[in-house]
Amino acid sequence: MNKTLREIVLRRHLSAQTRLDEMRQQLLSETFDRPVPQRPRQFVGADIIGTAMISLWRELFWRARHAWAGLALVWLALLAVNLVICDTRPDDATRADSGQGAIQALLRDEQQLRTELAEIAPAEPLAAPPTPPRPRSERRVATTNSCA
Amino acid sequence: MLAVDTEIQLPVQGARAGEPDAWDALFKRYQLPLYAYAFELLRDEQASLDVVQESFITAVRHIRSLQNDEKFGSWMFSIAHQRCIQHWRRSGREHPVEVEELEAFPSDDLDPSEWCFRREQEEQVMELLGHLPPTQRAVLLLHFLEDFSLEEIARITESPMGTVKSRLHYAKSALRRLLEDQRP
Repeated sequence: MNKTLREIVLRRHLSAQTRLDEMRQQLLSETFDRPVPQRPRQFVGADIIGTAMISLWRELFWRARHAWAGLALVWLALLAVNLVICDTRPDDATRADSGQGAIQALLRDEQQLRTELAEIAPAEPLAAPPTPPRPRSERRVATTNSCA
Repeated sequence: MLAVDTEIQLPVQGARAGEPDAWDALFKRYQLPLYAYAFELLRDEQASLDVVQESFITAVRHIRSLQNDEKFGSWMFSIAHQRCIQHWRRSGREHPVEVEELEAFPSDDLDPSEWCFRREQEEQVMELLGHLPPTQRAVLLLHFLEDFSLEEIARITESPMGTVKSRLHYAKSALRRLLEDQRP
C-alpha cells in the first residue's frame, strides 16, 4: 500500500507521541491549573504490600463471600439473642445489692425485736454492788448499837 | 491510522477565551507534526521536544496576536520555525542560507496527497529528506506535512515567495526521481 510523504514522516516519529502527551498534559496543568492524569505507576514497595493485601482479600474473602456473609448473619443472630437474654436476667451487680439489702433488713428486724422485748419485760434491778470492807472501829460501833 | 486529523474544526475561539480543553485539542492536533518538523530540521530528540514545548507556551501567551483563526496552523509552525533557528544559533551553527536560483519555476500540478510512495521506498524517502539542504527540507516538510500554500510557507520561513518556490522545486525534483524509479 502506498503512503504519502506526510504519513511516512509522521509514522517515523510516532514513538515520540507518549512524551509529547506527557509534555502537553504537564504544560496544561501548569498553565491552567488543570490536573495531570495519573499514569499507571510502576511497582514499588508499598505497591507490593498493597497488591498482596488485595490478593489475600480476594483469595480468602471474596471467593467465599457468601459463606462469610452467612457466618456474619449467624453471629449477628447470636449477638441479638444474647442481648435479649441479658435484658431479662438481673445481673451480678443487682444480685449483690439485693444480698446486702437482705442482711440490712435482717439486722433491722433484730433491733426492732430487742426494742419490743425491752418494753414488755423491764429489766430486773441490778444487784447492789458488794460493799467494800469497813474499818474495824466502825464495825464495833455498829455492833454495840445493835446490842443496845 | 495516525493521530493527526486535519479535517476536524479547530477550537481556536475557545483557545482565545482561555479554555484548557480547546488548548488541549489544538496541542494534540499539532504536537506530532511540529515535533516531526523540528526533528527533521534539528536531528535532536530533546531539542525537538523543547521546540514543541516552547512553541506551545508562546502560542498560549500570544494568541491575541493571531489575526485569522484559520491560520492557526501556519502561525504555530512559524513559531516553531523561529525556535529552530534560535536553537541553531544557540548551538553555534549558523542558519543555513543557500544561494537561491531566483528563476521562475513551473508550479507543480500534483497535490501533496498524490505523492505516494511504496512501503519499500520509505527508507529511501527519509534518507533523501536527510540529504536535502535544511532550507529545502523545511519547505518540503511544510508543503507535505500540512499542505501549506507557498504564501504560508513564505510567511513561516520569512523568505521571499520566489525563494520558497525554487526550494520546493529542487526538493520535489529529488522526490520525483524516486517516484519515477518505482514506475514499471
